Amino acid sequence: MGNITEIPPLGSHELGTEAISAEHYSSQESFELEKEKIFKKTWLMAGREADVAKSGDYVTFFIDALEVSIIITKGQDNKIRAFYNACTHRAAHILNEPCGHTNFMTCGFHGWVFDLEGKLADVPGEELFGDFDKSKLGLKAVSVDIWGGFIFINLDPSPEVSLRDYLAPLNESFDKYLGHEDWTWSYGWRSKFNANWKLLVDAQIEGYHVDQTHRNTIAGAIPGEYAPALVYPDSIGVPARISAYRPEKMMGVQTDVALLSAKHGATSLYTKSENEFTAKDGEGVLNEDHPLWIFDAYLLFPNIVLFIQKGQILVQRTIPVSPSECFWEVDFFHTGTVDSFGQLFNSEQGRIQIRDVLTEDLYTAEGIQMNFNAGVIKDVYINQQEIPIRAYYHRLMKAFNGKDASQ
Amino acid sequence: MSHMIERPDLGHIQEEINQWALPTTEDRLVKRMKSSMEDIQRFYDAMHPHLATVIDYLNQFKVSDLVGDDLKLSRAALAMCEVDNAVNKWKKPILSTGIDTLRMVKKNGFNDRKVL
Repeated sequence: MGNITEIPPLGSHELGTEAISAEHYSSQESFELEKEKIFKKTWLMAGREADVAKSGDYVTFFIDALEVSIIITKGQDNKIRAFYNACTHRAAHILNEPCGHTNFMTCGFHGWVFDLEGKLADVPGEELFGDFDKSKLGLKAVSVDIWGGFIFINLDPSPEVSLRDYLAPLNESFDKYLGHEDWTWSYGWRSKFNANWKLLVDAQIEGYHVDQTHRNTIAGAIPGEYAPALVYPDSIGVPARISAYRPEKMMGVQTDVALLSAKHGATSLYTKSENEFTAKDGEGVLNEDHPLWIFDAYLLFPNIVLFIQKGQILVQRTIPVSPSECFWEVDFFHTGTVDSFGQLFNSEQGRIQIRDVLTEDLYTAEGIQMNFNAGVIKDVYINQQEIPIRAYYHRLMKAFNGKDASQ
Repeated sequence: MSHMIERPDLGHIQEEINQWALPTTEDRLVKRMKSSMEDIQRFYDAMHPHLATVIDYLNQFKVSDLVGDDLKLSRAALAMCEVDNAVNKWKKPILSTGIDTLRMVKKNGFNDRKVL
């Protein structure tokens, strides 16, 4: 066995070394394939179970490119269900808030009422209709499942694989850790970009960019050579992951503000906490045996990067709008509450540091998109540390063609 | 039981505290973005020698119990998180190698899509 502080290999060439076509970032044809073969066929993260904790709680989820709005409710039987947000009368959206609570879902257009199980419960002036069978006019159901406390939907009425099989190798340990009731949503941001949705994912799944992209923020806190990649060629929904480790001796600028923050918590990714922080049920998920480990970030195909560390979960989601437009979101979950000022200071410092780092991560996508749209660049070159980009591309091609790019 | 930490005397930097004790992270972000480097540096230099003591003093209270001058002081201390990178890394008020931070719109929940 090697030295305990040894960092895993940065990546490999196991998926090939050839340049990758950039056509799928800009062409309408590829975008249509993505809509049909990915966003209508795969498991998509659509919400958090805690947001539909009680019967009558609901959230809505929107897939802009498909113009599809989904309602997720918890019924009287405590079962979580998903439906198209479409009144079966004349197709109006029924619920328009991101989340809320209601015992019946009433369409604001003419007042058709659906119960939490999606059944059409009441039609004002029912006698005004002719041949009419209410039992056939329930909301259209959408496949739904829960993993790690996250709600996933699948627009395929009969998904090809279960959510659990889809997310392998992320096993029951992950389900348990991420689904722990102690996690609460803390904060998040949302932005719109004139860039293909996959470019915002690409920016997060390789460590090769760290030294240059982040030269004005966290340079030295996570050196590029401490951000190795790993691919899962046999996985259906998890093509790759990257990890981040601290250097044995912190390089770069550790400011007094950061060091004061580190006394009170573990929110910042970039400064080692002085507190011994123990995460519940992290066995098999957190690489706690490695003294320098900070986080693992998993690519959940197609549009999620899930960062897992002690005491913090960070989810980045992109939702396509058109080939050159997307929404990007990031959300943070923490355990425990912010009670003391020290905790608040730590939370604020961590929040601002990652915000500033993210502005750097997000800086390149729109320029790249312009070069693809203009046809100036037609291929991209991927090194072994960037292998998750190649794994992502292979998974995309597999969705398009039924086989990956290497076959 | 440890003894109570007394409130540090900050009368001489009260003007700087008043300037930066804004209620929200977003308020303090905008303040930093609109300030000159001289103004940012002046605030940082005023607060920096006292920051450890201020945090220890305020840490004796629940955040929800902070009112009046202590609430104001807490906001000025949090503003140090906002100006830290500008002072210690960028040497200018705004990072020039990132997107405009204001493009990242604060959400109110995981499923919030109304903000943008």
